[in-house]
Amino acid sequence: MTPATKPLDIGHGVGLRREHFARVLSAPTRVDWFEIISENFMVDGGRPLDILMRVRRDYPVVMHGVSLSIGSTDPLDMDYLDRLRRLADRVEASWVSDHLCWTGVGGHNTHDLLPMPYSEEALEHVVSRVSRVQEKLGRRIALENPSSYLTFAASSLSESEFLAVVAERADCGILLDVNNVYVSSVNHRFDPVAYMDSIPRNRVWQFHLAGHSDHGAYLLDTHDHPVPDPVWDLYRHAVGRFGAVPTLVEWDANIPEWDVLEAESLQARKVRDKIVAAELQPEGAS
Amino acid sequence: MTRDGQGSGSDSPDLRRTQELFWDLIAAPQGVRPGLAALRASGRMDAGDLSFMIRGDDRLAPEDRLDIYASMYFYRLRDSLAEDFPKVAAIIGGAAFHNLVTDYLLAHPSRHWSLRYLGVPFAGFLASQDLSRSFPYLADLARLEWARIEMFDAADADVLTRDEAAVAGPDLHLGLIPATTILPFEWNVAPIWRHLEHEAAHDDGGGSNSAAVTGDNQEEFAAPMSVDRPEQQKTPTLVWRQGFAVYHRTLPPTESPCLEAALRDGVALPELCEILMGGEKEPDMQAAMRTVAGLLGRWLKDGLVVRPGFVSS
Ligand SMILES: [Fe+2]
Repeated sequence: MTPATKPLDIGHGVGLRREHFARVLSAPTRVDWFEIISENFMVDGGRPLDILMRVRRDYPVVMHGVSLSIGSTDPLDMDYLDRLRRLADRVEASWVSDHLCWTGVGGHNTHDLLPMPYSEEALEHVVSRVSRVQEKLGRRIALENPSSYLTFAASSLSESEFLAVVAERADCGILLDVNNVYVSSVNHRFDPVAYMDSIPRNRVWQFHLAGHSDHGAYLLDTHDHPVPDPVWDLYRHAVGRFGAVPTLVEWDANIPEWDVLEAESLQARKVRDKIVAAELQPEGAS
Repeated sequence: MTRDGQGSGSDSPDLRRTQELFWDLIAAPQGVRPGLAALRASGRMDAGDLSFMIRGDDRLAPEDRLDIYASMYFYRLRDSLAEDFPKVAAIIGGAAFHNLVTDYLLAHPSRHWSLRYLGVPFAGFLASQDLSRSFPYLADLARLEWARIEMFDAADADVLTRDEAAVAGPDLHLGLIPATTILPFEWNVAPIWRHLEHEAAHDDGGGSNSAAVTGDNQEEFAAPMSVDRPEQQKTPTLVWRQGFAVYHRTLPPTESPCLEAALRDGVALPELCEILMGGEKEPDMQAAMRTVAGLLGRWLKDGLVVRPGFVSS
């Protein structure tokens, strides 16, 4: 199965959104790769697919899904997995990711990333499903930590412990969303640095960076802002711990002009390069 | 952040039960607390609150935390439908659309992995609602909006060119590309569609609200837009995609039975002549052949005719 271990560092990407289709196709950009929302391209034909294939000629494409529902107690959707695999094969996706969550039950789909209880029961359930999904897709997947707004009474593990064990036991990757770690750390009052430090180094395939909004009693993961300072700080820590991991800036609402988005990605590159260069300094050098 | 000694273990519902309860409560139309009361009233739950399942703290009670998800669920789906049916929403206004979607989601919650299919039964649902008494043409307008979405990402196909059609001559067997559909409207809604499209283009998109994103319940709803009621008349309407652009046009009485036959299972040119003479649209073979030639020219120009033998992937 691919990727064998950690995927190659493909640098800095942004989400491919229709607001930027024309710009991305008309001239070179300074981003290294694009991430797509898989479901938006799991269609029969038309413009989005055509655009995607044209973008793919010039850039690596990473597939990021929202409907895998890995934590649901409903059966896995084989039709969905078939189509996901076909798209991944067709665009030769660098890798495929989704979220550590469930999206519906009883045949319903909420189209939302719903939180898991971090219990032994849920752990067994998720591990066995990740293994079956990876089998079906013929490739390993990465799971992202979602932002969350509640904790279940049934949770006996922390989220980072749960994620780490899933990754080890199911042999999958982790898409570490730095903004989500921050948002959840405020919402649930945990230490985001300790969270990161309990994630195994070699399991993290990708970072997400994004903005959120403050609702007083909680932070909401909105992807409608530039990356805020506390998230940049946490990103520095993440690069220090996990190294030069491919990084994506997410911006899904109030989508800015291309140049603004590109600049945010370039900023991530600058931050990452600085940390990585410092790590490479021989000891004693200042 | 590990075991904190409270709640975990035997008192908690299992994963299946947790998810079912979670779904029932976030889909409850009035919010989590009324949903909880309804579950209790129906004897499906005895707990007084949700603390057996969700931890609260000094900032938010368990029910408030679940309400965050309930809001995200509703607003995301409502905004998705508003994006799919912007003209229906514009005519009835934001508040009525909000209420319509509340009822719609109870009757037709999403069962597909893609949000793309959420609106499939929307026009039919609309037709069954009281709203359709004040706006009898609204379901047809919804059908038009939906068909345009369907055609937007329908399967690709190779289109027959004029030259290829000339080579095939009278032997040509006409089939239509997958991105073609004909809607049998009772109301002539195309002029309203055009009017609202024009309005939206000059509105600069300022109307897009992001309640789903902010979770803000104090949003201001757009007022209903007054439009002239369309004529009640049978208006078969063709919706199709040419290249990457979606179009629609009303079909004249001579064209619609011909195009319908071609859409069903393909048609040979002599059959088209028979359709025209049988329906007494044309008096004789010569007139019928002239009309068919005209129709064919138009269909080729519109990119409606599929290249024979083309199998879409
Ligand atoms: Fe993310």
